Parts: sequence; C-alpha cells; structure tokens
Amino acid sequence: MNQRYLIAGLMGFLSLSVEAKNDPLPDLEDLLSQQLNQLPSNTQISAGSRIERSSSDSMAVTHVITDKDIRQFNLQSLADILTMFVGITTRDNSSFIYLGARGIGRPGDFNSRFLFLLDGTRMNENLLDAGLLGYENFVDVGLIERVEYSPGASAALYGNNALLGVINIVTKTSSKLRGLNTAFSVTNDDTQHGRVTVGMRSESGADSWLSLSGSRLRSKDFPVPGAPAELLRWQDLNKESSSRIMLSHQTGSLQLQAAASRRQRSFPDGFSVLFSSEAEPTAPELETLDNEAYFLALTYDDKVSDDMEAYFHISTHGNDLIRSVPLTLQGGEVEFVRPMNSGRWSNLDGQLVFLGVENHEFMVGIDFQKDHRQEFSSRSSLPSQFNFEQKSNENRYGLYFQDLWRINPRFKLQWALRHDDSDFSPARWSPSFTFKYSFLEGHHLLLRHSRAFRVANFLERNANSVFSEPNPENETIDYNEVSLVQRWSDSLSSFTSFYYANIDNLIHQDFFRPIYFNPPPIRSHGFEFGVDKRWEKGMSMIANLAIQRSRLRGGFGIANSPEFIGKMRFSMPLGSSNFKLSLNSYGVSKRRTFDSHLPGYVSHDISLNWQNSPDLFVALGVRNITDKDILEITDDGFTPYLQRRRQVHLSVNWSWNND
Amino acid sequence: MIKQLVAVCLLLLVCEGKAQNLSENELKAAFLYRFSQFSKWPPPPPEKLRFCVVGNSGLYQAVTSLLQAQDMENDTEVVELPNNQEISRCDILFLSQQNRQQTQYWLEDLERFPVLVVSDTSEGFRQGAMIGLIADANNLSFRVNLTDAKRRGLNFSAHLLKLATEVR
Repeated sequence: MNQRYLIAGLMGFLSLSVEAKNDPLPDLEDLLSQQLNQLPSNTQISAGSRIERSSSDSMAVTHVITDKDIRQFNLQSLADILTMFVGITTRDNSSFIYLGARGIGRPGDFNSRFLFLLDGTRMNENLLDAGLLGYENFVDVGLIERVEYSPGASAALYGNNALLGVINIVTKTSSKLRGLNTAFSVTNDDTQHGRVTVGMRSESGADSWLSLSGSRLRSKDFPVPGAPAELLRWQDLNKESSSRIMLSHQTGSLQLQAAASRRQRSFPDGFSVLFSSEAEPTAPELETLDNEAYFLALTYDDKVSDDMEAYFHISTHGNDLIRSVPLTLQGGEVEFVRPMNSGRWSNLDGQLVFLGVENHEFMVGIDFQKDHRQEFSSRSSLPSQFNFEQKSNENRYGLYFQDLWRINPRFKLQWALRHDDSDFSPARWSPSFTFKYSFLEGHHLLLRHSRAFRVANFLERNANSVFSEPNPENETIDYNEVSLVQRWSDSLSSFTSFYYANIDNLIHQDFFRPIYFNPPPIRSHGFEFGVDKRWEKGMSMIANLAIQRSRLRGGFGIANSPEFIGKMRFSMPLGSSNFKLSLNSYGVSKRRTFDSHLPGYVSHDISLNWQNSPDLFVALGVRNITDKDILEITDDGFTPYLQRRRQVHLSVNWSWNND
Repeated sequence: MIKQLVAVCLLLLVCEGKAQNLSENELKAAFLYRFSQFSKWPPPPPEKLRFCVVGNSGLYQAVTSLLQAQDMENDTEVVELPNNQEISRCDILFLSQQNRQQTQYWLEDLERFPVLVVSDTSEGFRQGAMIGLIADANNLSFRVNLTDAKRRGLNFSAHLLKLATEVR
C-alpha cells in the first residue's frame, strides 16, 4: 500500500513539472542554479594543503562529494558520503560505523587512522582518536556543502592520525540555508529524519544560521543473519533516536560555531531473551547506549598584510558514551553495569602564510591540544571488577612548516616538515615531499613521499597498563605515491594513483586478552583510477576502481582487506530538466576474516529526483535494489553483520524565504 | 515496485525538455555582466564600462559576445590585458586562473583605484579580489569581500550580498 502511495506521489510531481526557463541571459539566482555541463577548470579544495587552493594548483589528489551529490543520492550519514569515495569501505554493526581504506580496516580498528576535520577543525574524539560517522555525528548531512577526501599520509601538515587520509567536512553558509529550510525523509523500514534550519544574512554581510534535526529508527532489523525467533519477537525494542543542534555565526574574518548531539540506542539483551527461564515470555531487559557530544569553536581567517594570511582557531569539545548493560546473575536477578567513556579537550591552532619571497609560498603553524579529561569508568552495585575509574589528561603539541616552490610554470616542489610531541609519546618528525610536473595543460604528474604516525590512544595505553603490559609502539607509515591527474577535455577527466607503503606497528587488539600489541610490519600497495565524464544536458558519470593488496611480513593477508573496490554513479535528466535519474553501483571483492572469507558483492541504488525551483527538492529511491546480502565483520567477535539492506526512501527538502 | 519505477523513468525519458547549455566561460561572462549591474562605483560613475580580462582568452571572447548580444557595445569595452600597465583604466578586472603571487602582481598598483576585481580562484579572492567566482563540481557560486570593496569606494546591492556564499 505504501508503495502505491509513493508511485501516486511521483505521478503527482510529474503533473506539476514546470519546464526550465530559456531566458537568453538568466538573472543572478538562475545563474547560481545553472549546472555546469562541463568539468570546471578549477574547484576549491583545502584538505590536501591545509590552505585553500585551486584544484589545478593542488599538490595532492583530493576527491570531493558536494551537497548536490548528497541530495541526489539521498545520503543520510557521513558514512554514506564516505562510501562514495574511491577505495573507501564502511562497516556498521548498528552501534558504531567503521571505516577502511587502502587495504587497512581490520576488525576492531576504530577510525583513528583518518583525520576528520570540520571546516578545518580537528574532530577526532580524544579517547580512541576516532571519527564518528553515524547519527552520533553532530553535523546533519543537510548542512554539508562538500566533503573532501585526500588519501595518503599527511602527518607533515596535520600530525597524529593523518595516516591513511584526511577528510574535511565543509559546512554551508546562509546563502543556501537562508530563511526557513526544512528537510524530511522517511523509509519503508520506519526510519524518519527531520531538520529545520533558520538562516539570515544582515546588510553588513554577517551570516548566521541555527539548525535542529532529529532521526528516529523504530524497530530496526537485527543486523545478524539468522536471528532466532525468540529475539525477532522483540524487534520493536531494537531502536535508535538522535537529535542535533548546530549554529554558525560569521562576521568578517571571525566565525563562531557551536554544535551538540545526542544519540540513544537500545536493543533487547540477547542473554535475557535466549536464556529466559520463564514459560511465558516477558519483555526482555534492554541494553542501552547514550552518546552525547558538543563543540564550541572560534576562528579568525584573513589576509593581514599584502604578503601575509593568518588563521587562528580555538575550540573546546566533549564526548560522552554511557552504556547500560544488564547482567543476569546466577540466582536469576538482574544487575546493570554502566560503563562510561568521557572525553573533554580543547584545541588552539595558528597558521601564517607568507608570500614575500618570489615563487615561494611559505606556511608555518602550531597546533596544541589539551586533553582535560580522558576517562573510562564503570558503576554497578556488583563487586569490584565492575567498578573502576581510570583517568588521564594529556598535552599534545605540533609545529609545522611548509614551502610551495614554483620552480617554473611546469615544475613545483612542495615540502613540509612537522615536529610533534605529547605527554605519553616520544617526540617525532614527519617530513613530506611532493613534486609536480605539468607536462601538458591540464595534465599533471605528482610524485610524493611522506611519513606519518599514529600514537597509541588512551584506550590502547590504558588497556595495557591495567594488565601491566608496556604501551604499544606508535604506528608509522613510509608512504610513496605516483599520481596522474588529467583533464582530457572539457567533458572528461581522470586520475590514476599508484602507492606503496611500509606500515610498522599497526596496533591491534590481542585475541585472548583485552590488550593491544604491535603486529609484524605490513606492506601495502595499490592502484586507484577514476574518471569523470559529462555530457550535454546534465548527464554525468563518475566511476572509480581501487586495486589494493596489504600483507603482513611473511606474506600473510590481513582481515577486511578487499583487493578490488569499484564504484560508479550516473545521473541524467529525464526529459524535463526538473527530473533527474541517478544510479549508484558499488562492488567489493571477497574479504578474508580470521578463519574464512566473506563473499564479494555488488549493490545498486536508484534515485529519482524532482526539483521545481531552488526551494523544493524531492527524492524517491531504493537502496540495494536487489536486496543483496552484504556481510561484514566489524570486531573481534567474528560475528558477521548485515549491511545496507534494501530500503525505499522518500525525502523532501523545502525552503521558504520572504526576501 | 521496481518495475513500476523503471516504467515511470522510461516515460519521463521520452519527454523532450529544455535546458540551458552554457559553457563555463559563458556562465562566468554572464555572472560578470550581472556583477556589473549590481555594483556601484564612486562618483562620477564610469561613462563606458571597461571590462578587462586576464589569463583566459575564452572568457574574453565570451564577455565580448555577451555584451554584443545584450546590445551593449556602445556602452562597454572589453580588453584582454597582457600585463598590469594599464590596469587602473579598468572598471572591472577579471583575474582568471591566477594563483596567490600572480594575483599580487596584478593588484600591486591598484590599491587606490575603484576597480571591481573578480577572480575565479580562491587564492585570488583571498589576495584581494572583491568577488571570488568559484566553481564546485556542479555549479558556480561567489564570495564577496565587502570590506575591501568599500575601502576602494565600491559598493554592492543588497541582492548580490544576499546571494553570495560568503560576505567578508
């Protein structure tokens, strides 16, 4: 019945379709909404160089997903967005979403080998140094202008965690959020999401917006295949809700940002369902997760003299995760254990760009992070082993220098060097060298060598200290890359990257005890290739392929490391330019697990979009249209979890502006 | 469900629609023309608007064609600048594909003149252009440096400021 309503709704939109204007000289608003039917000669990116640069001048391969892609494919979380990038895979166990790239994404690896930035601000939390990709992230996807992904080791600029890549989320301004901006989406599996944003721009140009959003997932499918009937009976207790608030105020060179989020997840405790001694089933005990996060940031960014640009940033952050786990005791009574992870930290960053020496672009910067609180604790009325409290605090420093030397119009050399130190880790240097040769207009060859590191995080240090084990050594990577970035015509471009990396000490959890150790070195190499093709009238295709191989010394493979990942997205207007059909295909080869292999898969999404004006956008689509079973292992429990099941979704984005 | 969706899509596919197909340079030229309409020069206003283009012959041709199509040939002039010697005679200067130091070169003697500087790179915008007309993968959008513009006696309409991605 629901499907009939959806089709009827779609036909209704058809009848409302308005033909595009064909004014010989569109007004300014129409020009802003004009789609480029050819590849732009330059776009703006910042993740690769820690400074805004044109893509043609960039010294690193950087991939971008825009807000238009997000709406067109109805992407619902940061994880959905990242999955569109070359070589990236995500795995969801319904409590946490894990990220993998370049053949590294073993079970139990949190997202600490990527650096996550929000408008240039470091966002990895301070207990696991992990990035949060699901509904616990406080940025609603509707507020995202673009996401940049610069793969490869980038510690020479960013320091800790920039081991496999840097991901920068850039938020919108009130030009796209002015007035009242609302979004609502619903799926056939009872997921609802809503957002209300109010934005304004003053006559002086000051820009402000406030956004509230919430999601509710009622009666989630259990993510484990073959869940027993006793558990399925209580599926309506498997649910999740989240809410977010975010505000931004920018005036001149100053920007104030604040955000907070809360995610609550609950599901029936498997033990109390499956081992209940009662003849008549009663409602099982619930295990719950409650995640709260916030940040407050002030940024100054401007040209301070003819030769100098300055950037200063101060922010404070918090992230708490409280779990409530029921324990059935021998006598049948139930006790609750409440473990809590709590982090508080502040960042102070500064950066100067100096242009006073001909053909050189110098940059010097300092990063400081104060971890006010790093805490794992647990409370229960049970005896001692369930009651503990481990606390720490830490200071982390980084000083970096970068020079972009334009040797001549064809040759550029960028080198960078960074020194990092922290309370619990020895000081280290991270260099980077990139050589760019523009052998034809629009055709660039990049050679890059860099070194990066990840220090053991609080979890890894703390777990080992509890068992009187030494801290694991810091991870290091020696990274080499050869890339070709080519613009063949106004409608076709491509990138090709070969990389080779030696990774030492890639920290991993022990199989038998909850401690962390350094396994043998890993050799990782691979090839990434992608094309972007545009046709007239708005038809476009982006396809990419990653071939990767990561092996422990001695030739042993590592888990969750697919050798082939292919992605393709295609979109075309349907007759009237108000309708657009989008297809997204995604294929991953088989992956090794501890004792077996998970099968490869190909999944397809389809979406039909309708935009009557800049103020109204409707998308109707189906994810995983063939309902392919996709299994992934996320942790050392070796339980495969089902991913991305078929889902029909409808979303409406509507704006009202009385200017 | 899937079959029904595919059928609807095929139905839509056979309908012929109208869509504009401006090239990137044509689009930039149209923006430039609109910027000139929403900008105010200090008195006395220029009698004949002089558009100067740097670094992009295709854009120079697109601006020329657009002004001809708008029947503005008698009120405007378009020149492609090889160097910065006559830059102060421009009313609108479009710096195309210029990095930070190239932008510095073009703007070094322009401090006192009310020239509306537009750049299509973020580096050019940060180095002193009053309008940055920047592309993303799908569209063009623009940022405005109102502080710099006012310092040189220029001003913009509220409509232009409202539509800018960012106003500094």
